[in-house]
Amino acid sequence: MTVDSPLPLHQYQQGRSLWQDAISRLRQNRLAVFGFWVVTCFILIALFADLIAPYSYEEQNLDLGASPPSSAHWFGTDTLGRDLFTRILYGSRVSLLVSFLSTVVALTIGVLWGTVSGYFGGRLDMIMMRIVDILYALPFTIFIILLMVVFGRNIYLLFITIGAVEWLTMARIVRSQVMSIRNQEYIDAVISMGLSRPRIIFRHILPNILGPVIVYTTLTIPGIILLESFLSFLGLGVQPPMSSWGSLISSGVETMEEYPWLLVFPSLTLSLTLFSLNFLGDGLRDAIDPRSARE
Amino acid sequence: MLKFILFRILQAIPVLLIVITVTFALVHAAPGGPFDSEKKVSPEILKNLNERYNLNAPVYEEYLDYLSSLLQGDLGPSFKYVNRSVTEMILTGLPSTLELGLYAIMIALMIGISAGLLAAVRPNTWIDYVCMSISMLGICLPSFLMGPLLVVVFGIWLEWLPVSGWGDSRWDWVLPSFTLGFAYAAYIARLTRGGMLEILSQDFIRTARAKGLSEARIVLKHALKGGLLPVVTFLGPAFAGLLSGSFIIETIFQIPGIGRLYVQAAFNRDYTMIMGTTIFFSVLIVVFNLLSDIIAATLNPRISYQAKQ
Amino acid sequence: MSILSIENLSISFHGREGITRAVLNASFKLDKGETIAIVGESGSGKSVLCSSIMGLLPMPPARIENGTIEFQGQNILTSDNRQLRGLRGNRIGMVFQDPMTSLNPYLKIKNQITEPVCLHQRMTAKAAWPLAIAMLNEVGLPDPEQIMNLYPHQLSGGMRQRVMIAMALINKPDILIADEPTTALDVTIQSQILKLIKKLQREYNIAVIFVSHDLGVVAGIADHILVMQQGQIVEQGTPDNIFYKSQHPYTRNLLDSIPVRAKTEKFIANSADTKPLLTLQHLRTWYQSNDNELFRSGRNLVKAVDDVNLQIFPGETLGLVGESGSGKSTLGRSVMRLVQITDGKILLDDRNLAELSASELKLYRREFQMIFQDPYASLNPRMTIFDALSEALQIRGALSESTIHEEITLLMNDVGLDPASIRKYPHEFSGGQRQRIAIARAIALKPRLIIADEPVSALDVTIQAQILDLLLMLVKKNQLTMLFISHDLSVIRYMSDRVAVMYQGIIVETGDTESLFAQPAHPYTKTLLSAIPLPDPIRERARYRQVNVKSSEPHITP
Repeated sequence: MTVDSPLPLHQYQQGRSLWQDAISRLRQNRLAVFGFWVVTCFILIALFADLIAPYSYEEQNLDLGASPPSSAHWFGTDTLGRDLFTRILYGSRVSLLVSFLSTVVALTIGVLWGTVSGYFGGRLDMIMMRIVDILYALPFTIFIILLMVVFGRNIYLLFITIGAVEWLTMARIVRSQVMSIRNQEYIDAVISMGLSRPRIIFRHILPNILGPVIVYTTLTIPGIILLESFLSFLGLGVQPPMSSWGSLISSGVETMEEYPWLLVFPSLTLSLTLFSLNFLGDGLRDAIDPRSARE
Repeated sequence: MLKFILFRILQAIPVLLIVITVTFALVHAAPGGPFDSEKKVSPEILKNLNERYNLNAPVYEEYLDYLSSLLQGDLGPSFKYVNRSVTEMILTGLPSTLELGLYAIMIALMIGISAGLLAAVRPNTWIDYVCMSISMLGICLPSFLMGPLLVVVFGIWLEWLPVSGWGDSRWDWVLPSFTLGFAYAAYIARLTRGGMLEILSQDFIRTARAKGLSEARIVLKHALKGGLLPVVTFLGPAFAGLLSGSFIIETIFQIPGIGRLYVQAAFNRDYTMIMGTTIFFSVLIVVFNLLSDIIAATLNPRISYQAKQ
Repeated sequence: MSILSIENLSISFHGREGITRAVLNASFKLDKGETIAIVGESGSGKSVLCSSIMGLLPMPPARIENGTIEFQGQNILTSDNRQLRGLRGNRIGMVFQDPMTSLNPYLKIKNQITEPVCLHQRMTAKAAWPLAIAMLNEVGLPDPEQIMNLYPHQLSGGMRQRVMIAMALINKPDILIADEPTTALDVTIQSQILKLIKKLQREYNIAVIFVSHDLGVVAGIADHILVMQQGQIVEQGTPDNIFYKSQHPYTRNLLDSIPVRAKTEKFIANSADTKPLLTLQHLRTWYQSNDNELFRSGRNLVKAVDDVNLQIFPGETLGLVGESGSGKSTLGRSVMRLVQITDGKILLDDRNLAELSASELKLYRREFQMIFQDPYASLNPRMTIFDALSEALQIRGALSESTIHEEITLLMNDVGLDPASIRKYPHEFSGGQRQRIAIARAIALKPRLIIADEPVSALDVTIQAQILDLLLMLVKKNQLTMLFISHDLSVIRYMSDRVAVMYQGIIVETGDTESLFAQPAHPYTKTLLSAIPLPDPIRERARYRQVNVKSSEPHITP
């Protein structure tokens, strides 16, 4: 052990990072793996909807009318004779697009806000968190409905407003994480080494809060999908002939006694997605923070 | 404690002001303007509005006018229905909505807390798995799916329960309240389980065991108070969620509450009604947030102690 | 006659990662009124052994492999839950390590202390009240009536531990199990609690099982000592036999790990002609205790460091000793400018660091480096050791990759770690190894001053000794100047050339280590010195003859 020159490369023992540990734990969780693959499938479907779809989403066939599932129309057709399978494919585009974009908006604002507030602390933190508290108390669902009524049903407006609501929780989570990391001794250690502030934040703080942020993001997406479906169900989401899962379910409910398949398939799709995202989120949480799994 | 309550009330005032101002501004910024006659507004209503709102005056005067009449509980005349005021319409719908909300939250608390407790006391057993799977179902089955599903099963196939209405028959509250409450029961079950597991792993639970207390007593006397704190803080947001959930439930089950009024107003572009209900809901939500915070503070000696100082 | 006898007991834990043997073939007997001390490091199985006596082990994952536990003829291992509950808190009382978390924060003291009486003697809370008051009096708490109506967080740590003891003894049990009851307490409070336990034991003639990692603590109070290592009782005997005539190498290793000697190679600073490296002048660090309150008031002002004047000479190690809340850590962090300083000067080469702006300060940062207490929190969990060390090295300037590799290999050798493991992450190392890595990171910058803030207090005694010796070696080899902060007087004495004693934000006394320990001038220093438990049973026993057990703490924490 008195070698004073560096060892040849192959003699180093390779360590296992916490990420590698987390991924191997995640792999053992079958439900989470199932969720992961379902979500991946839906993302691919949403991206390539126009390639996969057998019909056009607005193509009507009034002669056919509402027909039950068949070999030509796997999920049947709606009252206007439109292929339900195609409409669900395109619906996933709206539902996923809105939720992912909203999440990106929420993530960006929330992480920035929370990091600044948590890192600098003191009065700035107090003011920033009071603002969050006040916004938090606002009835946002009602505001979103109001916005949709006043400005018309605009999908981009929708995801910006949803994102603008969801960042609040993200900011709170990020702040509390940043504060707890900030109080760890290794941050004091790198401050005393004279590292620059951006380097401390980007290299020493953000990588360590990534876990909770990923988990919360995964658990936010189903909430947003639900919110979008909720609005579409009320008739305040996307406009026909475009479809989203919520609007499909809404029209399915109207005719559920005569044409049950119009309700069944969109509902199954929505629930499957929600289940998968929740399983994935729960699995990620247990994998990233093994203590939370609890023996 | 008083200081804490006072502080929270003070904090609620800017929230309400923001709500009122933003609502007012939004409605004013609407393309074409709310008081534009692009939508077929009858001349009587237009006259009413003009008298009431002094529409030709500058915006700020209009705003102050609205604020002062708000303080008197006057939310203005309806845009859609001649000779009906918004306040009157809200008051007509309020009892059904409140009743629905009350039943729903009671169902949510009863089912949620008992399921959560069961799961927490026997973690990682089949009881836990069953409780948590059902709660996952509650989270993933939105009320607008759950509602029709329950209607089909219990109302149409089994014909056990009435499928719509409110106060007309003895059992018509069951389906809507359950539909509305179930999702919250699911959240509450998860929160209860998490909170209880957290508390049950604390050192002072070991102390209680070392005293020779029975498990039941440990859970009820030593763990419950702390374990339910997350549930109590959740009640405020849950109430807000219940209110927006009532839009859907009241529409599906045709309940004459404020939620349905709101949805109808949204479609009819009854702007005064929308403004009125938005503000009314906001006040309710702010008040309930306040209440749940205060209850949480009284449950936690550390907070009430700090607040006393 | 023995009231408790354990024979051939083996306990294992069946977890996902396989089977861990926590206790292996343990046997001992406890007589009425006798005190047995179980001593061992973390993971030795001492706490598991205690819990099994109470029937408190979580099964599964715990499993009794073989053996018996007999309490007054009753077999604990075959008793059902009901019978066990009848013993707990009634015939066997237990006190735990951390008084801060062992009392229920949601219930008032009165509800918690009367509970065992109501339960086991079937009394109403009202009937139990005078009993509880008498018991609180017994444990030396002033004004018991008032304390009954308080919540735990309104009491100090020492007072909470007294409440715990009162609660454990309120039913006059036959056995008191005390699991590290003084580990979380300051040394002066520790000595009060030890005296209290001894006094009550004599009064009630209770048998005591006293668990500790610290041989010094048990020297005076135990009649019999068991030394545990990795689940096995490796040696047992009277204190005199264990301390003076120990047979087993592990016991001797434990004894040797207690830093009793003073620092051998002294650095003698001649303050007349040596210029101090660092001078603190009238340093004040005050802060508001409730930083998040909207309406700030002057009431919550904490004077953590108040008017401190101190000099550190190049090449010396200055020990800074004080109890929790004395401000010693804040002083260290003030010198590092990790906290906002209220007033005063920090002079390095005649330059006042207290005046530097954040950007000017960055250039001076590396002159001082810090070693922290918690080896689990002092390294970034997502960076390999190589990354952590090379980050430090790069502060010194742009170095080539091969230079960095060479330097890191040197550093690893210096702190006694295998250079082959630099690609590993912190969580793959033990606490002691992590502390070595933290030391390597601190010396990598070649700082002029190292501030070590309780660097060994989170470690087991044997590891503690290794780290202390490593630091001594590095100080000598690299001629380091060090400010060594600790609550532990023996450690301070072992490490320091000079000592400063801090109390409530003020330096009450400074002096050369030898003379300060031999002739303390300030009354606080005297109290502190007399409270150190010594690994010497004869001298320790004398301590328990004159007994005054009143709580000397202020009533209610602010």
